[in-house]
Amino acid sequence: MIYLMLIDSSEEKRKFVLLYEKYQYLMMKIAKDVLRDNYLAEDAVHESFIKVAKNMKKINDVDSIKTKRYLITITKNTAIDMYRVQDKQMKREVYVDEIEGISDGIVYNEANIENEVLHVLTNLPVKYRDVFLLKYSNHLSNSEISNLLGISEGTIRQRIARGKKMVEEELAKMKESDDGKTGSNGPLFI
Amino acid sequence: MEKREVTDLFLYKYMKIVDETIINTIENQVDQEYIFSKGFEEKMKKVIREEERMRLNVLKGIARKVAVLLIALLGAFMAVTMSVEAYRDKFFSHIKNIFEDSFVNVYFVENEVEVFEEYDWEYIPEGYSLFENNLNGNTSIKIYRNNNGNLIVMNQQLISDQSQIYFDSEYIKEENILINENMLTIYFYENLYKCAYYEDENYVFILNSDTLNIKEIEMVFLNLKKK
Repeated sequence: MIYLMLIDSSEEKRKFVLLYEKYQYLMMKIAKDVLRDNYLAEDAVHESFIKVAKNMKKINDVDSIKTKRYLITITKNTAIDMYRVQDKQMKREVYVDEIEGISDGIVYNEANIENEVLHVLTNLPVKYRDVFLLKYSNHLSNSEISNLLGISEGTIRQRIARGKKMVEEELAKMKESDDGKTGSNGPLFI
Repeated sequence: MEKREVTDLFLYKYMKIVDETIINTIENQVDQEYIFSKGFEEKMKKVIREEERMRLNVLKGIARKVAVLLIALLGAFMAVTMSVEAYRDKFFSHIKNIFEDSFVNVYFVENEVEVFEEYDWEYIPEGYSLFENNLNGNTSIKIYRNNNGNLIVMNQQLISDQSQIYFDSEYIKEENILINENMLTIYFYENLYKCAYYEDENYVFILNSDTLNIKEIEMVFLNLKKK
């Protein structure tokens, strides 16, 4: 009989190991997209797992979109912090989606209003989209998003407000375009 | 120009779909064949081990189910080589199986003792008081805590045939002290963490602490008495 005693949460520990086994490659990709270097990226992944270990209470379902988004966000931010340290000339904010163009190539199958909405939301500037994803897909509070992204709650509220306005304007433009007022842009998606 | 209002409800509806689509796209681009460096693997093993030890020190005032023994045995870390040493003492014997980052004592008992007799740990280091006491079948686990939240875990185990105890083999050093004709072995790990192992005729005793020094550990075992 294997005799193994664990305090409190053998479940949490098992969960942590599962996260590591399932997502080390995903997190490596995110880190490498920012840092462009295998060793630095491994350091970022290692640091990210340390942060995850300290926040295991926030992880429920290992396979959920929420968990994946959480891991991606932690890894991205860790890699960006390392990138900034590596390149102090970098003044502007860095977003992995911009670097890699991850939003490129995302298509929705049918041309309809819903897909127009999805297109607009997917192609928002990443600083607005990240906040939207964490708030409206992950259901994090402004305070939690602030801690995760390392920006103030005021900035979070601003980005939500501006992001919404941006989406409204884009949808209005699309509607005008669909109505033929400004000329046709053709179907958005195949 | 008519504008569609973007509300929270609107975003709750659509952002989930966007999130899933983006994540699926990213996942399709992941290189599952990437080979992590040895350095990374070692660092991650330590993170996992440290995660285990940190839980020793997290006290939230909630009742615990069981106290900690030592190690982290994970399916991810498979044995690379094994060697076997046999020890024949007492009324039980054990062999020691050595793996890549752990070793296992496997016990063999011909005539099992049926009744568990709990020992007294008569010496408790200064500043520590009993936090939790578990007696379960053939195991007694006492956890002591000081004001800083440091823990000492004292475990007494009645050995049964084929039972196994796992130990983390990545200790920095090992010291042996003879106490009452039996050997006390103390394993020293990182961050001042120590595990002390002791056997008498029928029982195995294990103490875990990250604060006690050798003298204190020795005193604990010198004052370990049958009731």
